[in-house]
Amino acid sequence: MSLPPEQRVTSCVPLGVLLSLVLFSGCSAFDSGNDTSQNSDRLTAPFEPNVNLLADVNRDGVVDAEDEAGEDAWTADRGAIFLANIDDDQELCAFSMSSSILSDDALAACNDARDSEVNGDEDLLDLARLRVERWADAPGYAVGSISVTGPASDKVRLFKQIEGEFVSFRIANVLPLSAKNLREGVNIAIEANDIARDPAEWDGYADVVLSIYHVDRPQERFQDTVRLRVAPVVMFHHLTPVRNVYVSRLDIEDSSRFRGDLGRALAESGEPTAFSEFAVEDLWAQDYFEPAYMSMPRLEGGGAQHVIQVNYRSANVNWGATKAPLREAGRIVYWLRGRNQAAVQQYQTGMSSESQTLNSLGNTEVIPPYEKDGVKYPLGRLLRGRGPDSEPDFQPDPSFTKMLEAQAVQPPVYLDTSWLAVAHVDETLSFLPADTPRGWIALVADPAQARRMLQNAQAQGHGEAKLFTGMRWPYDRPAEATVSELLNHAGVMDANARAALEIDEQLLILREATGLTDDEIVRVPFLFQNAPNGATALQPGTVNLLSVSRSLVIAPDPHGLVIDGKDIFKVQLEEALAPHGIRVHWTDTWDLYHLGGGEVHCATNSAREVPSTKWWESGR
Amino acid sequence: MSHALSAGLGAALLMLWFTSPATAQTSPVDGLGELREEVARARQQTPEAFARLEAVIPQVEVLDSRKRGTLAATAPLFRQLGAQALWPMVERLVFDAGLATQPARDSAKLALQVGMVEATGDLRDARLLPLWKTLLEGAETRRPARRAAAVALAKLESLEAAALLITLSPQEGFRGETVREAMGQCRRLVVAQALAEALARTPAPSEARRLAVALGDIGSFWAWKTSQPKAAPEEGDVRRVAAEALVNAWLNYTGDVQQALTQALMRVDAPETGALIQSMRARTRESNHPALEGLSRRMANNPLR
Repeated sequence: MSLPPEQRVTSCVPLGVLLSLVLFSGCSAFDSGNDTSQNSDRLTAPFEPNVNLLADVNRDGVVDAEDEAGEDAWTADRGAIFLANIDDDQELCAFSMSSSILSDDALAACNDARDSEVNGDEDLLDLARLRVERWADAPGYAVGSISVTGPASDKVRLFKQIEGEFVSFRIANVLPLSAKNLREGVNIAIEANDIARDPAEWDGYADVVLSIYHVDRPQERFQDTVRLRVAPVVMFHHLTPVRNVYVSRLDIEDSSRFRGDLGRALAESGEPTAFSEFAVEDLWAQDYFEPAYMSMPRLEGGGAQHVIQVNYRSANVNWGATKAPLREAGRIVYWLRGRNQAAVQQYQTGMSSESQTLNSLGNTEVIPPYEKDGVKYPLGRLLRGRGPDSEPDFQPDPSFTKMLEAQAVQPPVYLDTSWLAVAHVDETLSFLPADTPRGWIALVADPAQARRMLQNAQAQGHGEAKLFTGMRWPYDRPAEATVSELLNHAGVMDANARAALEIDEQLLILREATGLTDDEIVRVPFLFQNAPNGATALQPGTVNLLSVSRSLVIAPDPHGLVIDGKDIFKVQLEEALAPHGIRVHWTDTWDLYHLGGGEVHCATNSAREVPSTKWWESGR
Repeated sequence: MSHALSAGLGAALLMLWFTSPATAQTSPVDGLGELREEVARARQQTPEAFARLEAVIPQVEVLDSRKRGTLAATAPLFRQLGAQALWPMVERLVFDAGLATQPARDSAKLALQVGMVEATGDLRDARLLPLWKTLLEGAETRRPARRAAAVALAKLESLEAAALLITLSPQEGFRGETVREAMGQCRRLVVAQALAEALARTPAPSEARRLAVALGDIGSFWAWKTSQPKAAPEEGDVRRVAAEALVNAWLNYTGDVQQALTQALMRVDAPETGALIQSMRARTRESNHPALEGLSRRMANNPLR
């Protein structure tokens, strides 16, 4: 747009910066090209530039005149978007699982935003576009710049299209514009070199400023500002089907059998999903990383999203004498890094060793989308476990928390998980798609119901019937226990009394946050037991399952109480889910996972179909 | 631990000595001589038990590498060795001169220690009291290891064990905290009284929360319904004392501490709870009445019944 003289502003970009650009970028930056204007009138002629910078403010994938309105603000309805270009489209980044070969920091430092190049055609798709509209009459003494200042200045790189190629200059956040550029108009591209992590440092917004000035009067500038927001990282909720299921591959029979069964169940599900195995020694694929995504309107994509999958590395800081600061298996996020696959790690040291389990990403789940009291959460909300306020030493990594909260589109709900030995929200809660007005149901662990089921069985004469038939504790001790033994175990009973009340408290918070009703809650009975630092599932925790699609879950075999040839715990869950059209595929987790404190959900992770709901429409 | 808390527990200890003639004759701080003899005898009589223990210890590394949280559950590994493994484990826990093979990782070393303590503690063998005393008075700095030893001591549920817990509970920092966390596993009246007195001193929120959980443990009516508590005749008194302490403290705290007090009250579910809340209501200012009515409602709808 053309600015009236009263909107002239004083320079924001230091002259030194512009001078540097001249020196470092050679003649082409300010080349006046076929400039035919004369200098005779440069002191007297009116200087009224057409100052118009456009970006995809209306988010239709095209930069055009319709993007003019509201370009200097950012709202749910309008506002341009750019991506943190932290994938590795040409797969140039080095990788090793060994921290002695490649440190955690060295791994994290490599991605497409670390150089000043456009790394191929795929990389070009990751750059958001802007356009300097032509000022056909720009005289030779008109020059300009595109710049980003303020907190975003060291978070962005600008590119200018020259002879068909997008090139950046020595100073990443400033582009010089020649009179020729101004006369012809010029295409600009922008990338962020990081996601928003700490709002106190950078809130994710970048004001891109087009400045045009008379070369003799550089302090008197004509400017146009467009506000962009870097895409937040959005975590997947369970309402969309899996598109890639991940699991650790250990070279042992139990792992082979589990993976085989999982693979078959996925193949038979009918979902077009990939199945990825990681050759790491760490069993807990749910914990050491978490697939998520970021997106912006696809260039000329007709309203579609351009998506980069972002894999968070868990902030589990090692304690004791270890070489690397972070949980080793989490390095897998850098192995995954590649075309449209990015990796993010964030951690701080100095937190207690006991609190590290809170940083596992099985302790960060997503409540599916909902609306309550007129407030919409179209991408759902994060659900995280933490310790009570009175236990400041038992809290998740504050820097990781800050980063998650900085994404803003899935404001977290926190539950107290400190009473659990592993302390993860996925030990007591899960969410499944359902044909209900809300569109989903919550699965909630219910130890009190498990106790009642056993009491009923005892009352019916099954007190000597056994659970865990054929199962063994480590090193071959039979795990079988009779109904009466469990009901008469003071430690087990007290552990379940406390678990029942703690889960009730969790449910209270969940109800308050979401408005869930009893009809939308499926109780999942299993008993807990006391471990040295909290409660763990005594029976395989059947709430800890993998939601594959609207019609299939893969759950741990409870090895429960068999009466009349049927496991009453299996029957209970199957009957509870059947009205929602959900079938249960049972798989055995006892030896490999249950004894270590987890089940199917803990053993797996999943990237899912990106929801059609766009984050920028979330109003956050 | 505050001085006030220490005084409360000290008074309970004093009462214990005066009311328990049997304990007056048997020192609860007996040495390790008898245990050393038992270990030596077992080495002669069942050397294979020592070999079996050493054979399973490498499995700790495996379990540690497969743990989901910060501490692998290894106790089942040792329980399956049976009663014969008791003295080999005692030897490792208290007589090891640093020569026994240890897992490489710190987390596995901790899991080994905690697992053996849990497995031996589950035996509730009164002869092991000096072992727990030694571990709790020793230089052990790993919190889970100290907590496991305190729980093992508590599970003895003898008056000697109760006295020792009360004696050890005023220790500074996490040394005392782990003992107080475990005291609820010792379902004896004197311990309930000690915890109640400590809570009556209105300690800091983190300590109040710890005491609330311990009072919930000690009075847990689901636990008392089993046949395991050794002092069944004390059930009514233990639950009443716990409930009184929890109700009396309830208005002194807010937030997660009050929530812990509420949960503990529901776990205890003493018959007197309703009357205790009404009594508190009568004694307190009117502005507190709605909160107490809310507590009454929660108790009336106690999901554990």
